Amino acid sequence: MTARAIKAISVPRMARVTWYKHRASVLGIPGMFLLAAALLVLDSLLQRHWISSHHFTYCLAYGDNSTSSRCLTQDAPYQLGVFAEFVNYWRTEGTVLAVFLLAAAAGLFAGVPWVAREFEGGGFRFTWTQSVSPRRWLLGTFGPLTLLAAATAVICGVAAHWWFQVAQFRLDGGTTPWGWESIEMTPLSMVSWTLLAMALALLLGVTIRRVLPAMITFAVIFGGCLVLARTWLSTFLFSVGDIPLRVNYVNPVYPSGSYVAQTWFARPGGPKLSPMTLYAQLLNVPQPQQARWLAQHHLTEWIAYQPHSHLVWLALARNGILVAVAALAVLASVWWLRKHPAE
Amino acid sequence: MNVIQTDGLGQRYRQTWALRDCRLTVPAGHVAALVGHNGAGKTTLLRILAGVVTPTAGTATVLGYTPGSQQARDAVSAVDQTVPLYRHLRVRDQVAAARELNDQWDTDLAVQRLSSLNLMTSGKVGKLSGGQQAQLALTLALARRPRLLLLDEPLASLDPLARQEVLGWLMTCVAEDGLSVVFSSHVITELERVATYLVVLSQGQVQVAATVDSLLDSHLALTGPAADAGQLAGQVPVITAQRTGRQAQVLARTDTAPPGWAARPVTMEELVLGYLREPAARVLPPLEAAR
Repeated sequence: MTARAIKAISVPRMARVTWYKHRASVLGIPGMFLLAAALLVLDSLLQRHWISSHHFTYCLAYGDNSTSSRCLTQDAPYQLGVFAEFVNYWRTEGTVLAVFLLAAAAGLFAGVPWVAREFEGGGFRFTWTQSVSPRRWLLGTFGPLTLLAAATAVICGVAAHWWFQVAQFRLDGGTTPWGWESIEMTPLSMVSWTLLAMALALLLGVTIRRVLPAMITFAVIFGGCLVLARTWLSTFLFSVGDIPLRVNYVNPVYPSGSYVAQTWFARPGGPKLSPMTLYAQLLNVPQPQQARWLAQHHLTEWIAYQPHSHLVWLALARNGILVAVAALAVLASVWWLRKHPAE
Repeated sequence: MNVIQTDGLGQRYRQTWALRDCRLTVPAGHVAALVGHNGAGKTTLLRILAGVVTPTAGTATVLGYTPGSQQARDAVSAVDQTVPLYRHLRVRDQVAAARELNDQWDTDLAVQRLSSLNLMTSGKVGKLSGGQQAQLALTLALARRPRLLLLDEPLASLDPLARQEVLGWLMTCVAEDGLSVVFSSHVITELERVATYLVVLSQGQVQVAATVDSLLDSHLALTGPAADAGQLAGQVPVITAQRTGRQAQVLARTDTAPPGWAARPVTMEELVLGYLREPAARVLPPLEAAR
C-alpha cells in the first residue's frame, strides 16, 4: 500500500468551489449590500444638499442626540413649513426597515437555499465522496460566502450610519441615540444581523434539508429574533447597570443624552410604587399643588437611567449576543451534521 | 488484503432495517458484483462504504480505513445510483469543482475522456442526457485515481453500446491501476462479463460472498426425474429445485453429479437467480478467513 500524506483541502480551494457552484449568491449578496450602500450615499448627498440650500445646516450640528423640534425652536414658521415638506418628501421609516432587512434577505434568498438545495438535490452525495469531509465542506464553502456577506454588510452599515445622521431628522418627532433606528443603522449592527442570518440559514438548511420549508421557518424564526431584539433584549440590556436618581416631579431634569429605563415613586424606606396609580391620583390634584400633595404623602419620584456613556457598551453587548447566537447556530449545525449525516 | 470488511453492520431507517448483521469481506483486486432484490440493502451498503451514511450498528472498513475518514475519502470513489452531480453547473465548472475538492486528481484522464465523449462543453450538466451524466460521473470518479471504486447501478441509463464501452474502459483501469471495484446492478449478463467476485444480498444480509470461479466450480445444474428430487437433497446441498412435468431442474452445490442426474456447469445468471429464489441458502467464507 502506498502511503500518501493526508492533507485537507485548503480553504482557498473550497472558496473556489463556492465560486463555481454559487456564482449568483457570491455576486448577489455583495451586490445587494453595495447597491444599498450606493443608494444610501446618493440619498444622503441629496438630503445634505437640500439642507444646505435651505440653511438648515446648523440642525446637523446638534449631532445624533437632537430632534427635529429642538432643531426648529429658534426658527420662523417659514422654516417649519419647509421642514415639514422635507419630512414628507422622504420616507425614512421605510428606508430604515428596508436596510435593516437586507441581512434577512441574504439569509433567506441565498443562505437557506445554498444549504438546503444540497440535500434536496442530492448534490451532497457528490461532494461527500470527494476528498473533503462534510464538516469541511459545510464550513469551507459556506464560510467564505458568509465572510463576504459580512464584509459588504460593514460597508453598507457605514453608508447607513452616514445617511441616518441626516435622515433621522425626518422621523416623526426625531429620534434619540437610544431609539432602535439609531442602534440598527450602524456597521456593527449590520454585520451582527448578517452573521446571525447566515448562521441561522446554515442551521435550518442542515436540519430541515428542504428549500421551501426551510425558507418559511427562517422567515418565522428570524422575524422572532428581530422582535425579541427590539423588545425584550433592549429592555433587558437597558436595565443592566442603570443608575437610580431622585427627580423633581413638577420640574424634572434628566441627565443629558440619558435613557430613562424606569420611573417609580417611593416613601422613605418603603417599596417602589407603580407610577401609573399615582399619576392617576395626581390628575385629580391641581398642578400647583401636586408637589405639596406628594410631600404630604412623603412620596418622592425616582428614575433609573442609563447615561450616554453606557450606550456604546450596551450596543456592543447587544451585538455580541447576536454574534454569540450565530456562533451557537454554527456549532449546532456541525453537531447535527455529524449526528445525522444523510439518509 | 481485504478492500472491504464489515462485521455486524446494520442500518435502520426509522423502524425498518435496510441492512442487518451484515458480515462481508471482499479481497483486493476483484471486480465484485453486488446483486440482490430491490430493497435488499445494496444502495445502503454502498453508501455506508462510501462514507455518506453512518451505520446504526456494527463496523466497516474500506482499504483498512473507517469509511468517511480522510484516508478512506482519498482512496475510495463512489458513483451513486442517483448520479449526484450539480446539474445547474456547466460541465467545465463541474470538472473544476471536482478538481478543487481532491488532492489527487488526474486532469489528463478527465479531459481526454470527456473530450473523446464530446462532453467537455460549456453546456449545463443538467442538459446532458442520463447516459452522458453517468459517463461524466464515472469519469470524475476515476480521475480521482481511487484504489476502490463503488458503483451503484451506474450503467442503468446507458445504451448497450455505451455500456460495453464503459465496461471495457473500467476493465482497462482495473488491469492497469490495480483498481478494485464493487459494482451493483440488476443486469446479470452485464456483471457476468466483468465480475470476478460475487456478493448476493438478501433481506439486508449477505447471502453469498465468494469468487465467481469458486462458485461456478462448486455448483452444478442438475436435470433428472422429478420423483427423485426429494431424495437428492439428502445426497447434495440443493439450492433450488424447479419441477416441469416429470423433469426437475436443480441448482446444487456440488462438483460431481449424483447417479441418475445429468449435470452441466451453471452460468452466473442461474447461480444468482437460484440464490435469490432461496434466501435461506448461504455461501460465506469461514469467519476466521474473513478476519
